[in-house]
Amino acid sequence: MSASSPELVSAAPDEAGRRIVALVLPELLIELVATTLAERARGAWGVVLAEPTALDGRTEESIRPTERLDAVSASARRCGVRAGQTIAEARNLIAGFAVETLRPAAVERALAVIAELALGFGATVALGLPDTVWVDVSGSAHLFGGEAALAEELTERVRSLGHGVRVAVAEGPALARAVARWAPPNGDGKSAHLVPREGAASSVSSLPIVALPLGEECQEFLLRLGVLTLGDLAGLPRTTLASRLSGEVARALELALGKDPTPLVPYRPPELVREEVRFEYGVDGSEPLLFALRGVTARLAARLAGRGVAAEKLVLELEHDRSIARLRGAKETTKFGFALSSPLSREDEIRRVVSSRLERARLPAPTVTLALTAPVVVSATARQLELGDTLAGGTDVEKELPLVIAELAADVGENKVGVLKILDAHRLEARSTLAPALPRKARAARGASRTGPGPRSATPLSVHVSGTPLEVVEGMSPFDERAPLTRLLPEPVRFEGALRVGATVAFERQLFTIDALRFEHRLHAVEWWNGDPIMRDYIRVWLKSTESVIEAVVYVDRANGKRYLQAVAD
Amino acid sequence: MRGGVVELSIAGSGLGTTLSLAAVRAFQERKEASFGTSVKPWCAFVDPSSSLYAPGVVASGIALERLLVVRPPVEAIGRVALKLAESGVFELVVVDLMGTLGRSLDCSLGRLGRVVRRLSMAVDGTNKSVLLVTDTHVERALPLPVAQRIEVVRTAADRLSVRVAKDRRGRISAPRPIAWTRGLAALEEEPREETADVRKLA
Repeated sequence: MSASSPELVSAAPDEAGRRIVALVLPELLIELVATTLAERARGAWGVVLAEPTALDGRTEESIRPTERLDAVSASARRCGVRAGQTIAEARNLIAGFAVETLRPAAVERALAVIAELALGFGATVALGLPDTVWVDVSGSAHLFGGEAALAEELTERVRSLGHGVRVAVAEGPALARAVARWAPPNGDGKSAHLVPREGAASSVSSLPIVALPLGEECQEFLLRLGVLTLGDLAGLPRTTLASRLSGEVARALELALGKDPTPLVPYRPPELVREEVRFEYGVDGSEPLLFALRGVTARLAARLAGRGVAAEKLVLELEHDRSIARLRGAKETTKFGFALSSPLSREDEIRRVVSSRLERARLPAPTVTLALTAPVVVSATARQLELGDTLAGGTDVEKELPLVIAELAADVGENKVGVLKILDAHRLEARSTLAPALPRKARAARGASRTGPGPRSATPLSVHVSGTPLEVVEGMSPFDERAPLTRLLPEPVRFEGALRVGATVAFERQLFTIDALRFEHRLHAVEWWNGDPIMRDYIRVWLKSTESVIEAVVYVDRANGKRYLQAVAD
Repeated sequence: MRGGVVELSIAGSGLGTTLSLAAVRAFQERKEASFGTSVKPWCAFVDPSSSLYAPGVVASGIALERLLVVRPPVEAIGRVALKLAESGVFELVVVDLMGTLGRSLDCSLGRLGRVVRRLSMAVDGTNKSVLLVTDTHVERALPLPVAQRIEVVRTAADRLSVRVAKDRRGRISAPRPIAWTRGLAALEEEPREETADVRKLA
């Protein structure tokens, strides 16, 4: 694929003060193939971009020798093979030169990740297959400390995703790409090239003529004339060139003069943020998946950061080898859902939460695809740094607590982590529940408006105790007058002994004698509206074993006379 | 004991939760200053028996909204306790290894030695602590490597026996009786009229 012009052109924008960053990823095709094919990490080989219809089993035999290479590995370059040569030419230079095919859609997906990352630096981004992402930073560079600082930060972000990148800032996309791709390394050690607004022509004058987005025929004509650089081109009389180079001359000359009015075609990211990695062969166990998860979470976090959002839910999907899964009678896909108590967007936070579940997963079959999706996202709330906390060196509770809760919820289950909450109810077992530890503010507000009154209000209840109404205020009950009941059995245990002092009763292979008992409280026909009114007598008992005493509450079901141990004050 | 792991070893089934909650309350009462206001620090309670009861916790003087309760399966107790302690968020992490009457835990202490060492490393040199509530009668090949072990027996409704069995500074003690007035107060009340109903039922 030639270095053609960026996708053109629907409307002419206002060019005043425009600044475009071009991110050129010269090794992207090689990197994409190398991540999926371990044996391609080294050796001399090349990549051909091919449409899906041309891929028949991805064999080298299906690729014609006259196909042109879109990228070559470093080993192949050392042997003199270059991108743009045919496969036959490459095999003349290197015996056994291997060729891999890559779908343009896969390249576009990789560029889309970079584009979403770049959204954090400018409002408009655009893609240019096979290796370029542009971002319009007009008016936003000062937020990052200037164009140089912005370019450096952007470079670091892209490199953290495992890509090599060359960066240039110029007035337009074609010029910025030409500089990023063809300019020699900076002498000052900085990776980004800045083309100034004033004097841009002199900055780009040393670029070779092949850097211009001109047709092959036009480039060859200029080279035959001895026009080797943009500076040479700018020195030619424009009227003479116009008759020789129809159509392209105006644009070529403007670029040579440092002017580039080419508009960007904005890239619109998909609504669903999803990242996946496919394995050539099925992988067993969770260890290789945890390794692959690092890259997936890095890309997902970069995309979330670019959009300025945080994930409120995550879904990890593992696609297993179908044949083995069928053979073992297992499902072909394993899904893990993570409902986060607080939205997360940082790579390390997301990875901690997901890996805490993945590392304990027992997978029924080898995994061929790992995908992480953020189906629910909310605006990420920026939090101001507190200098005092940083200097004190302590744990940032506000930051760490949601993460710990999310990890624990992923590990033991969402309904097993929270804070206790008291409810208004007559029955003991209905008075305590486990609620989410951190309130979800925005959602709670919306939910309240949708669902109406919500939980029952804390109005005083009226409980009948032997026919006498007893006022109960919030958080208090007749039991509170005595030693508080600290434990409530999830399921009441049958109390098989008689309810009298001196009687013996057995619990869990241990004998107890009733040392004392006191009547506590009667529920008479409460919750009649459920159709099954509750009638219970609650009695506090002191149970004595051979070495200790324990205080407990037993209730008698007045409907059938059965007795149950329900709560303990231990 | 701050910066260490304390084992509260309970004989029989008495007062383990009440004493743990008293420890939580003591930690929560040390409020942290934050820009002119004060906030109660977070504590955590690992409750594998899923039986901790909110009204009882409130009656113990604890701020419910600052006590994280985790209800893991028994095999995940160590892992969860480590996550809580290593996070550095919680002033006190209570790990119930005992359960309660009618819901006791089948928890082997033999495998917890390594976990306790990691817990000790997590809180060492900090103001944070870990409290393990264990059953005295559970068999163990070796004592847990805790900084302090306190053995408690409720010998009567109004009496406790407390013994410091291990202390990293060497301050161990013989069993000492302590009055427990809360249970006694309930027994000394005048019987209510409704007690007659209980006698009929019994």
